[in-house]
Amino acid sequence: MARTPATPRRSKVAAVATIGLSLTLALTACAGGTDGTPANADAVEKTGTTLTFWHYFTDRADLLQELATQYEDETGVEIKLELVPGDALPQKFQAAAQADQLPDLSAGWTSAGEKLAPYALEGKILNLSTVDGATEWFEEFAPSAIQGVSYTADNQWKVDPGAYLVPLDTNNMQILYNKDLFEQAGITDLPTNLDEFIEVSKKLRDADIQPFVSGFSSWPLGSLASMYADNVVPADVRTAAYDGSGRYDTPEWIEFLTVFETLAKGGVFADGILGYDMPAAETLFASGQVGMIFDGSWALGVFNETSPDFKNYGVFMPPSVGDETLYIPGGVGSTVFVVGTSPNADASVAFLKWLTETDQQKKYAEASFNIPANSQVAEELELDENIAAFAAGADKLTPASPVAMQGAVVTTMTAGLQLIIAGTDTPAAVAARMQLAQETDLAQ
Amino acid sequence: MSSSRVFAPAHRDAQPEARTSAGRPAPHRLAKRYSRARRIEMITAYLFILPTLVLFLVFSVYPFVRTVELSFTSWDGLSSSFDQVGLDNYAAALRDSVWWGSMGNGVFLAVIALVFMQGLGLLLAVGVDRKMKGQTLYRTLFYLPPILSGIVVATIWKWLLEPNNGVINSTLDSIGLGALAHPWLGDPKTALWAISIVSVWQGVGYPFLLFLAGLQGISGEIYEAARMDGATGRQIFAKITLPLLRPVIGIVSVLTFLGAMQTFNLVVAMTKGGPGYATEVPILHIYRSAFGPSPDFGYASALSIIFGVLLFGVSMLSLYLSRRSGGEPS
Repeated sequence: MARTPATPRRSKVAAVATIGLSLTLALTACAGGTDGTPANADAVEKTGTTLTFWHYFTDRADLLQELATQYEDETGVEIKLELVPGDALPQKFQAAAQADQLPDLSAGWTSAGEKLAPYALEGKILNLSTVDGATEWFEEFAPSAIQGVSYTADNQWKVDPGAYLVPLDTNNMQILYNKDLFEQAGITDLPTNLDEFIEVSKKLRDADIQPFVSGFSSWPLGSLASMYADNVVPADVRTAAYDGSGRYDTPEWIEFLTVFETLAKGGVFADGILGYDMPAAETLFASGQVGMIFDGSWALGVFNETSPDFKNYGVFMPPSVGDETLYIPGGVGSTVFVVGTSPNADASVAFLKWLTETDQQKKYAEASFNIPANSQVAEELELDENIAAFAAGADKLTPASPVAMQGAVVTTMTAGLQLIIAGTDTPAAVAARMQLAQETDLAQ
Repeated sequence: MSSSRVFAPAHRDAQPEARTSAGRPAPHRLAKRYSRARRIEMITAYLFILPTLVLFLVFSVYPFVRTVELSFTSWDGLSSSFDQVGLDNYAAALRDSVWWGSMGNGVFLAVIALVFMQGLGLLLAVGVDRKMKGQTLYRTLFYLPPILSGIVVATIWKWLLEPNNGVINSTLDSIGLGALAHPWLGDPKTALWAISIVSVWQGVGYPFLLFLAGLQGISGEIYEAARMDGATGRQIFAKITLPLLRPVIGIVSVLTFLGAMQTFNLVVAMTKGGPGYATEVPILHIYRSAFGPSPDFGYASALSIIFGVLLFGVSMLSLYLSRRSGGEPS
């Protein structure tokens, strides 16, 4: 049956409907939070205050939900938890900031430094030192924990001084070792210097055990490198390179990079280490295939969850390889901040204060195998042997510095170290590229 | 057919009414009514395409214009103020050895895809086209990898390629070829090859389907005539199948090239561009520039423009060459 042509009247009706649809589509595309309110504003009006909280704490998701429910029961304020993959959170937050679609609270993905500075400068992250009762609140935390979440008065990013994040726990990175495998390889003493570290690795290899692993395809290589940069490069040379008055292609920096060449040639690193991210490295270690892993205190919770039968391991301080003091990376563990532009900023601060109170911190520490940020709780709890070893490392944390290695240089250094470990590049060439990255970054 | 009359010239519909009592047309009134009716129809037509136009403007034109605009700035992706830097970002891109290295890696992936993904796709299509049993099953099987998420594919292959417990190295070990076991993704010399193989495995279904459609569009009578003239299978393939498939090959080549150059999720999930810069690809470098430790949206925008212009140029050149050689897409 042939269709009848559309009459002008029908066409007009269709056209009006089409215009309406177009406008709706256009307005929908452009709408949503343009006034800075979160997307869940309706829910706030209907059910009382709702705080949207982005986090990446997969291993503590149930615990956080339990605490959120408890908080709602006590105060009527709903906490809407949204789990975001850890490596995607910075990008998601950046995109949301551009679109004015930020949550009320978010887990921090780094400590106070270059990466958070633009948000702090734009007021997207609240300066918690300015809220009522801040001084008393911060006294509850270990000083090193507060230091890691604060911008100092003379910081290079010109951020107003103060604490911008709240630490839920503290952490640090050390080396964990498998006691059974060490015994199997006949190792009785833990290594304290570069030669001993290579010797221990050799014994493990002789016993057909891969010596050492970490997530070298990702950020842990940068953490290990920054630790040894502090250990090898004198402080004045480092600071000069960071602030642009010095260079990276100097003998001190080349000596630091050479440490990784020596470790690689000494057979320390597990086969294919450059292809491992942290979860893969942790799986290899927890399954008893590798003798040592460079990992953080959070790994205890990971092993407890993924390999509950794996218990016979210990923790030791990474061996010193240079003449400078060995400081280990860490300080602040999981952190949370309040979005400064949130209309619920006050309610968010109240929730954070509650979350870091003694009772909640006890519950958090016991369930998550983390070192609590609340120093009073840390003293009261009976810590497991390995958590205690990590807790003892809190005295050896890298001190805060007003200047740090530029992000572009860190990226160049990490990629260069991968090539040194693979044996396809030299420390001198990598140092030259770090210098070039520094110059390009400063020029831009 | 009648529905197309909505857009037909107005005088054809209005003609029977536009006559005087003497049967002659009344020129002025007629012209006025024709033009009004035509105007309504034109407006109606434009209103029908308005939704698509709005979406196109909002999601394609505006981001493109904005990217061009940002490429001349130093915007970090967040700050409310930024400087106009003229062509500085473009000049920096020219000096960025990692960027050009990533372009080289992209070209490597594209060449591997053009040779192996297309070749394999064509072979599979020819095989399936020969009225073999289970044609539908093969068609489905070969098209399964492309519909899998890139992240899923990467995760599966990362597990297969794992150096100590991976299926590939374990299999090599178990059949006495342990010496060939290798940290495929952890070695700068093999990482890009490993990714290119995964990419071919995942993408071969696309050319396969397009080639199969092309093959099924070739009349069986041509083949029959060739056989009657005594042509061998190889001659038929070289002298009939390939020339008649040329338009499809042209299009598939352009699509394969564009797809390979824009590889991203496989690399992110499998190697994050490493070891070193061994698997850094253009889109990953742009992404890092925009969202890395030192975000620079201005620079990332400049890289995007350069990349887009190069891809556009190569695509146009490829289509032009394809057309010149008689393979004009229909």
